Amino acid sequence: MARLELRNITRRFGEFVAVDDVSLTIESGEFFTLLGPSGCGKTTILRMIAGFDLPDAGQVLLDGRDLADTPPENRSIHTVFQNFALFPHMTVAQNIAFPLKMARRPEAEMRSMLHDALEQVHLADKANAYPHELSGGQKQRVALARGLVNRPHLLLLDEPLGALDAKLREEMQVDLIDLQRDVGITFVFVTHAQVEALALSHRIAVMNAGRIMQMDEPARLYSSPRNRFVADFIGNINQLNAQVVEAAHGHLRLSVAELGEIIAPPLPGAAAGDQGVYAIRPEQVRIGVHDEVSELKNHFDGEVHSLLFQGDVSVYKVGLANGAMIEALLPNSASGRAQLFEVGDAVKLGWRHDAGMFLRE
Amino acid sequence: MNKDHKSSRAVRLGKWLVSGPPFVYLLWFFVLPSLIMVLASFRYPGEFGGLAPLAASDPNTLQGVTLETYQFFFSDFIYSYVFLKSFLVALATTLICLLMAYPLALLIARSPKKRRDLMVLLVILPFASNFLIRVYAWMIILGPQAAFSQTINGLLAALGVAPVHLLFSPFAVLVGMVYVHLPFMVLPLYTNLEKHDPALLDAAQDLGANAWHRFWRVTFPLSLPGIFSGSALVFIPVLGMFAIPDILGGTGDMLIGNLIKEQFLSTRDWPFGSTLSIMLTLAVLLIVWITARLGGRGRHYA
Repeated sequence: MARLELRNITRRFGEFVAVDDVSLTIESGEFFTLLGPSGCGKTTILRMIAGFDLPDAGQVLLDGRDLADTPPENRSIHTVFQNFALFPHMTVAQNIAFPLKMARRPEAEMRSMLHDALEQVHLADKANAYPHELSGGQKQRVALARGLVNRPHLLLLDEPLGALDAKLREEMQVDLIDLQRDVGITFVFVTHAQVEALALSHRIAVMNAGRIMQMDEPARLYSSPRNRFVADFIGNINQLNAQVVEAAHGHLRLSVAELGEIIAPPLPGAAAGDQGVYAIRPEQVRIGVHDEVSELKNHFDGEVHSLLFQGDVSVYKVGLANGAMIEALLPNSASGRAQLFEVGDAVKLGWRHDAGMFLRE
Repeated sequence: MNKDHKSSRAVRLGKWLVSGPPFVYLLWFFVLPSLIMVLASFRYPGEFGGLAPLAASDPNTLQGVTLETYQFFFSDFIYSYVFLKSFLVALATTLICLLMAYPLALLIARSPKKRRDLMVLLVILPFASNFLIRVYAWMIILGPQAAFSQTINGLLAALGVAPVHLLFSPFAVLVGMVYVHLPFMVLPLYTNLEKHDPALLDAAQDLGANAWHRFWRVTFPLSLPGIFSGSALVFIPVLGMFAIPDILGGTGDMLIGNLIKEQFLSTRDWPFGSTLSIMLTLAVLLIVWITARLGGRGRHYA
């Protein structure tokens, strides 16, 4: 069990600042995710934790010990690589036993650890197969077993699900959660897929341009993004340019050009005159033709612009009077629900006054 | 159905048009001469070269078909000795080439992509000048008046050792062999090493392997197919080489190639020359077979 701490890490490549003064602490046994678009610095951080790259400034500490002078092979940190990087000339068993051999474990101990690892990823029957004889999911499990077998303090996972197809990816997500809970090893997961991050992690650091934009639990990240980037990156969200008209105790009164007023939840420090965006999730928007929508504090007239039937839900795009397009997600729980509105229908759009949020620029 | 039939016939015709000319060429200029050689090895030599007639008017002259050349080959130990010596020279050349080529190939393979092409070009640059000229150049370099020989002998004299004659020695033959065949080892090795996924070395290091283990457990085993093809490309031509021992070797440094050449050009014993050639071909085929079997183990990940 180990606690990883990054202290004011900065890494530059020439003029380009890949990682800009990043500090974070990953607790023992945590499933921590670095999430962000490509080029945001998440992989650079991973490489610095593994030891393949060194920070220009700042420290990487494992259980309080600075790792600056420890080369990758001497760090008790193993990595599951993006394309698995299995040794093609070794069998599954030889691949998994590799870190044990390097650690010079005694023969008997090595055999039992290998056996346990093979059982853990359900590959006992493939022990003598070569990587090219395995499916994508099996390769993934070999890579995981190889990373975990020598019980590292930390397991780094570099987009390990990226090479799998959608169905398999979902299965592997469940397997990963189970595996992490069973072995109790700290996982640091790197991905650009927000769905994966939300499903797997205890905590997520959302990164952009070398900086951490927000670090939080998945549910809080989704419900209370702290800035436009996070709001936009995590899930879908509607955004309307807005200005604060009144910052009252229990709510904010916003004005949206050519549309009218919106009542939003309060934001600490917001004052009348602040410019920003009002953001609301599609599943919080209701559509109707009757008065039930009109009774909501925030409601507007609109016209159905497009409709995407997705089976479990239907996604409506509704045009508002000011030209803005609002996305609404309606579950198809009642039969025939998807046919409720057609393209071109005049509808009412509304949401509760405590839904959505105001985000300053 | 009819259309399919027609198109498959067109495809077959196309295949014949493409593979036909080289096929006919090899049949006429390789298979046929080889058969003639096999037949010649069972004949008697003619009085002034060539072959003795199958049926001569004079019953006292040598004629007809015989196994004599093969008996002759196995009766005198000297021929087996020349074969053995040639094998050892070929083996030594292959090993020296491998030791010299491996670091070079690795260096090229791990250089930035832009510089690699230039380095490969430099490796094959010697082919731009004539093979014989390059070998004759070594006569000058190794000659007793050359700075190289003088330096070596100067050092030996300082140590109180008698001076050595570098040219016309097994040493000179080996130097020439290695020099000429080195690119044939570098190129297949480079082609193999360049294909290695660098992520494998990262993975090995990440899992606890130091530089020594990364090389011997990942790079080296993955390069075996390259080692085998490079070795075959060096070993086989060296085994039959006659020009280099002719130019750089002394009178006692006769290899199979020289022996065969002598049978045809000096001794004018075509049947025995043919026999030696056949033995050499069989030996090469045996080596190719062994190499293919050893190299076959690595085929699936090459």
